[in-house]
Amino acid sequence: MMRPSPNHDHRCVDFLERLSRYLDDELAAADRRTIERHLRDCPCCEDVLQSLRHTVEICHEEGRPDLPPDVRKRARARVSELLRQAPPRRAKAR
Amino acid sequence: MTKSRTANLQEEGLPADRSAVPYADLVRSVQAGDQRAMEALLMRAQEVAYRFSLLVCGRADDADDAMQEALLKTYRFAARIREPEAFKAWLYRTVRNACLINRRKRAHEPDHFVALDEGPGDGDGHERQVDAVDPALGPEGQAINASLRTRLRRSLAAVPRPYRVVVVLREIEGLSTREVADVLGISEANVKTRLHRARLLLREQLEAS
Repeated sequence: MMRPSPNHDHRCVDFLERLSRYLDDELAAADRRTIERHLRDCPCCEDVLQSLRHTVEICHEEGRPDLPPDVRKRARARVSELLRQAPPRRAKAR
Repeated sequence: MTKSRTANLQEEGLPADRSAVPYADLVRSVQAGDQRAMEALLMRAQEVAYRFSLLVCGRADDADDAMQEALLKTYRFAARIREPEAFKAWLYRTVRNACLINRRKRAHEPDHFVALDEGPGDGDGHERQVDAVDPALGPEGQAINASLRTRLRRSLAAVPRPYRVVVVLREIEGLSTREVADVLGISEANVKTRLHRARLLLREQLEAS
């Protein structure tokens, strides 16, 4: 789990706990400004923020694999077989 | 989606990129008798099951079972769900439960993670590739992407499962905090806490790799 480096001061512990909410834009404006002021004065917290942001970006860009061609082919075959045996019906009117 | 938008989908057919159509819209089209929407939904359900098996459970060899389960349950459920907006969370819950059941069946086996960049073997000692390759990238671009993907998946595999599942659902599958809470049966505050810790743990693993 995240531990403040020796370069962090006591305020950093609180800021580090809120960095994800800052990244997700979930903080109130006043809290956001407080964090931004701290980030300007604290390169360690700024480094953590940038690496967290980078981690999230890697997940967004590289995390979602497409189905490999052979798996996709099997998946399509299963769908065709299922719909051939039992075509979809309209939902009953409610 | 409004009724007229739904009607347009049915009249014009679904867009070529069906991955962009929200689940709830697909479900509404299915309920109106649109077979192409059902095909798209069944494929999506299997894709979710495949990714979840690989990224959360780390068991590519369980993916087929999870995909089959997701396929059949989606087929039975999609036409009768009363709230199409609830389908997405239902699908992820179903896939998660299917993966957990598979895991319990293998309770005597240690948790093992397939090297996801290599993929499961074919039984003859040959490895096969897990990911589809993007042909739009040149060889160098493909190599860089493959390397980053490998680092990400190995790092994910090293994050404890309760955190891994949150980061996969939120950052990779793109569920909202509310949807993750619904899938896992925990509070939104708990999701946020776990997500923060998961990001920190994943960051540490990525930096160490």
